[in-house]
Amino acid sequence: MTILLIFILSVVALIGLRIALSRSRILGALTFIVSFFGVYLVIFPQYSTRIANILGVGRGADLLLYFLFVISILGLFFVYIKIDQNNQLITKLSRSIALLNPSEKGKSQ
Amino acid sequence: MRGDGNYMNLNLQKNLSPNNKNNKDIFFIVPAFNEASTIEAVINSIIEYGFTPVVIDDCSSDQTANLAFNCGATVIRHPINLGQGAALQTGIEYCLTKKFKVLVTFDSDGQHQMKDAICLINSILNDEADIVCGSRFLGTNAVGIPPIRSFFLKIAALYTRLTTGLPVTDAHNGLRALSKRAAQTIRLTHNRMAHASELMTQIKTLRFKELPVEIVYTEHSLAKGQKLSNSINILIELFIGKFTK
Repeated sequence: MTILLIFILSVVALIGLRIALSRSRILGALTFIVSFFGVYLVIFPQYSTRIANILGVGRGADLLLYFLFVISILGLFFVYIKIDQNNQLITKLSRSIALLNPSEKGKSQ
Repeated sequence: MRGDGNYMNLNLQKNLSPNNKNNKDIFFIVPAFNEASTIEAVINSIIEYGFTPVVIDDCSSDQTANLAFNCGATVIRHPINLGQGAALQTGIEYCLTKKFKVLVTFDSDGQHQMKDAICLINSILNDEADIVCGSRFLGTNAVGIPPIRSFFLKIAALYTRLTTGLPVTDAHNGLRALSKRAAQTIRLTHNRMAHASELMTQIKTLRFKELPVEIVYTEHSLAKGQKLSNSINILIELFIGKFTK
């Protein structure tokens, strides 16, 4: 169990580090802090329970679950934006291909 | 007076008759996707008046592009299916490389009437506005419109009125006429159906006008038209688009 926990947490930390290095500095630092705070709360459940009680949530595990949900939705949202940006690039590319070779009246096809 | 004076040619008004060779610099942008059954009639009616049809074939799998070309239209083919908004923007960009007085966007499923298009063109030629949109709700010109569709279109127009402040009664009409200035201003980035609302948000400094048009609802146009469930997708598309710029 402990080995599994350490494995999962190190994966989380690595992903956090990767995002921290790739994005803009403020967003990166924020992601880094948030992910390490999450790791901290998982390793010391007594603190997460205390914070959960302050926020009016019963258990620390529930609090983590809610945060996971919010962060997942945010992540999904960023992915949507990325897809939209890519679609616009594809559109521009296909439009310039289409405009290269219009079949105009009076010319052979 | 704004513009280069070409708009002010009042004599053109009576010349918009069939077989007039001087109408060549009025371009019709016809986005088409699998419209082989109706495209010929639409192109022929445009050519009859001497206007220049530009068909944007959105990667149809049927004979749409060939039929349109054989009727005498300029055909631009998208290499992949992008959507109506993208097709309109492609048409606008193509026309901007040519000399034109008026751009008309015209649906390929035969739901629009030529006489309405001519009213819109005259309005631009007389310099009454930069962009003239057709509305099926000014007067009683929506023939055979299902009540639920009418209801949703009116809600959508209300949304556009509130967000843009324009006196819109029908934001999702495919029949529009644009002056050169409008064509240079409009930049559609929403590929699918949200482009109609997007266009309204870009009008800002352009002079806007709405004229009544008749829409003929046939089984064909109803089957190809917007599904009502799609309005949710359009809202999401508009929302995501706000963060993409």
